[in-house]
Amino acid sequence: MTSNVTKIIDQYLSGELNAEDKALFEQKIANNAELQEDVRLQESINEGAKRAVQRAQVRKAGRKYHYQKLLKWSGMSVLVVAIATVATLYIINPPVSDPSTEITQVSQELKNELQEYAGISNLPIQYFPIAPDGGVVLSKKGVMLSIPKAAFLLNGKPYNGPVVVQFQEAITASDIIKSGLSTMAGDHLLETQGMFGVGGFTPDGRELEFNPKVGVYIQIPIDEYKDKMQLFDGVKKADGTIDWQNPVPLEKIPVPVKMSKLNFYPAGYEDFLDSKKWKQNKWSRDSLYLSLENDPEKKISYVLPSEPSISQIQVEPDQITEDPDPIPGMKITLAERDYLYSDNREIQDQMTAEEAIRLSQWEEGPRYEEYFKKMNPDADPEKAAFGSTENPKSTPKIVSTETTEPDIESESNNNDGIATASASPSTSNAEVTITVADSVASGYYLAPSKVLAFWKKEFNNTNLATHDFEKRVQVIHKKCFQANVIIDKYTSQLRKPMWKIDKEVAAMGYPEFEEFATENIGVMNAQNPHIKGLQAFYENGINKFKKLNKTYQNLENKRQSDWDKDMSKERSNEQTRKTKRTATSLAQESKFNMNNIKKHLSGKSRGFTIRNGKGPVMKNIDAYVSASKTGQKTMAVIDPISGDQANVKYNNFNFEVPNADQYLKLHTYVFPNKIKAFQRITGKDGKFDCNLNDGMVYDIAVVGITKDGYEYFQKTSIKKGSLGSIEMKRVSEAKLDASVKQLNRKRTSRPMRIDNEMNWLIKEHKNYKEQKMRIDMAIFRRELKSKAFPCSNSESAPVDNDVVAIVITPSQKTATTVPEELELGL
Amino acid sequence: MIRTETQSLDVNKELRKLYKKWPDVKRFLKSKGCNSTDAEDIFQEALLIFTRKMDEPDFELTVDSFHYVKNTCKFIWYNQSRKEGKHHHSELHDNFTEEEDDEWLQKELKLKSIEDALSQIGEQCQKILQLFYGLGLNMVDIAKKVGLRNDKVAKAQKYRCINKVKEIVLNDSNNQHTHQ
Repeated sequence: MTSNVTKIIDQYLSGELNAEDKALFEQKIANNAELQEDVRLQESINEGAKRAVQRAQVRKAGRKYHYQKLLKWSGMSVLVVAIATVATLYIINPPVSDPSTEITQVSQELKNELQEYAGISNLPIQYFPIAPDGGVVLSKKGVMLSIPKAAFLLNGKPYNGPVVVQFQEAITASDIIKSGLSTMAGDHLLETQGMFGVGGFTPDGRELEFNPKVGVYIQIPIDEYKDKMQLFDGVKKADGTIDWQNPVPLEKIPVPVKMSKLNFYPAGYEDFLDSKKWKQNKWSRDSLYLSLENDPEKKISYVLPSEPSISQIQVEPDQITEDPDPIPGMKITLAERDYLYSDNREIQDQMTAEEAIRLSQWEEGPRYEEYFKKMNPDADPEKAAFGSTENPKSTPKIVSTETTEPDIESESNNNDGIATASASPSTSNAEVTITVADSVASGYYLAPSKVLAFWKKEFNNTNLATHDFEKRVQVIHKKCFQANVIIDKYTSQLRKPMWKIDKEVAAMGYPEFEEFATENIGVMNAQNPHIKGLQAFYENGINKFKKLNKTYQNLENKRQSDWDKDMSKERSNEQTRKTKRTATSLAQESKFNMNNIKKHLSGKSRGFTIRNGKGPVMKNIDAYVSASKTGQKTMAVIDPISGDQANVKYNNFNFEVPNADQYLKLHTYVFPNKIKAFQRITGKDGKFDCNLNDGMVYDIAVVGITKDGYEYFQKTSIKKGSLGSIEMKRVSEAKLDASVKQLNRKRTSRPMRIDNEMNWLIKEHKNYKEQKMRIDMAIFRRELKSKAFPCSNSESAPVDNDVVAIVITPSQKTATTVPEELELGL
Repeated sequence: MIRTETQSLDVNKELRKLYKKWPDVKRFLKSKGCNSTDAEDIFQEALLIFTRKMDEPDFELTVDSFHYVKNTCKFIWYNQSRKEGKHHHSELHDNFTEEEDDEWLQKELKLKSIEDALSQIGEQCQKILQLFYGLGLNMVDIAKKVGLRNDKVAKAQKYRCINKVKEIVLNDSNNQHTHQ
């Protein structure tokens, strides 16, 4: 069988032979059985080929059947497949809402009709039918056209019907050459990244105008973005060539960056934390940052050890008016100068008290409250709450400067046990008041809650998750007053090209943003359907952060206030105990001395009076003993009748604690063996000097509180003399407790028990830490704020606050040492 | 014989509808002693015959399409088991009344052997023949689709392909003859 026969049979079967040949061939078949067979075979081969195609159809139906059955068995797969299908369809065919107005195809007639409109001749034309609701299409070369609803105008009015978009593109060099396009702008040669023509038409062929308010968004894939790349308008010239005119810079599509890779903290915030070796993790830093928002003004008053040499400034509240001295740390701002003086005079850095007073009367003024508080510390209820009540020494009335010996009259009060707390100021310390004014509370900075609310992964793939926005936020941080308004512009307009927002901000009077606008950053993902949801998410986020911050602040304020109340109570209790203890000690020692005297003047216990004495004898003796005791002087009591003499003898005892200034508190406890009392002595600069009753043996314990813990020294069976310099040893709280209790074992009555005393000391130590922490924190936060919120320092800020004022109110050394001696009472 | 797209769509729709009845057919054939794999082959063959019958210009369906397919299945199974000499279910034949139909069916089964021969030639050849005779494309388009230079080359290739099939078919029938 030859190929030739096959060919002729095939041509015969396919009807390709002309009538003549066909007749001839049929004649041949009729006479040739073999040929007949051949034709029949080829006929069935043709049929078989067709059958194979049909079989494929049947098999396809079978596969489809089995596939669907498989899906029915696993419901989840159906869902996944369904979503995948929808998503794919969504990308390929933009959703069409109204099927009645849908145009799926552009008819050939319309194409022919529209051809003449095409902007660029010799370039293939593509047509895209767009539903009234708009859509996104991809051209053959990958140019994306996003046509929103009402992107076009018909007769000057927004057109809401279906649109046929006509599109021509010449992206590659060969396209451009083939189409004969020039790359000339006037006389300049252009470097092109592509040319295209685009137009809109109604389905019945009417030409549409671009709606300037909406526009058509076109995204072109380019190899490389060049800064100077611009968009030119093509103008057809008489000779048919196109001149490119009116260049407009191209909008840049922002490059998405993961939120976790961006930094929206104010400049300097992290540097400052790093310099302090602060915690690195984002959570902690976020929390700290948030806590700076609406951080209320903190006033911290605490008694810290001070140098005794500090100049003694006792300021009576009502003296301030006459005090011409500058108030430390107070500066006059420009606004305040304008209020105070109309003559634009040079102003002093330091504010005088007089100026402060006048400013305090300026009700509309920015710092009325603060001045008032600073100048009337006692009138400030907040300060009172911070524990100054246990320091009545701060009222200068009780200070007596020269007294080295107590006045007997006043001491006799103690015998009656009617001591008042006001008679016993405690420590040789200065009160340090730190006031951190919150210059940032009133919105002179970008609210941390606003920053943290968008700094979340939910905002990935929006304009906010870009280095471009990061750069803008850095500038916004410095915009003080308007920072929050500016940031809202960006966060509330996620669908807007960034350059447009830049322009809006520039129009508010911030020329830097004009520069940002020239960067021509566009919009990322304007079609993102989640943007609306993100807006609400953002608002909620801000509120949540604000609430959280408020809660934390309240908790901390409550904790501090509780702590202070507790401390205040502890100190007040201690005061009461000390008074009672003093009274008890005096009573017991008097009794001891009197018994001694009685022994010496044996039997002669009636009928004598003491010179220039009055009243009953016993009382007089008693008074003498008291006097001698309180004066701690050796004295002789002579019986005026018998001439017998009774001696009450005191011996000096002293020692010195080296490096006394390292102690926050340093006390010596003296435990006499004969009476059930003990006394606390506070020395001066580590020197302890007291008189011990000759009739008794004493144990002493020296307790020092340092920043880190306790140091202790003890010595038993002392009568007199000098111990010289003693060596304090570091002890644990438990050891200290045990040792003191051992010495104190005899004393069990309430005011005499040292347990309470120890508890108080321990508490004092903890309080030191607490207050230290508060001060450190206040200073830290003040520094941090000045770094993070530049407006608090900046000249342009309306309130130029000095952030911290440290007011030191030193007590006079005499005022504190003298009462301590009173207290010694031996 | 070129089918239009609409016809093809209708056929596909009808095929899918009929295929949903597959479980019924399977149960039926199994009850006649047919195994699952053979049963689906038979069902597909019956569907194919139905499709082709629908293609005949003067064919008029007198019964429900599923009924027709089911009867065809019955016949093919009868035919197959008779050939294999295993089963003699005389009652199978009872419902098949039309002698004519039988003849047509026999012809179809013969075409199946040609199909087998077609499946033995090269893939390009299969494609050319199927596109030309099955889908009625012109040689210019076919040349493009299978990657040949032009329609003339494609045509020459087509003849060569037909020759190959003819050889296979003739060889097979010779073999059968010598065996018998």
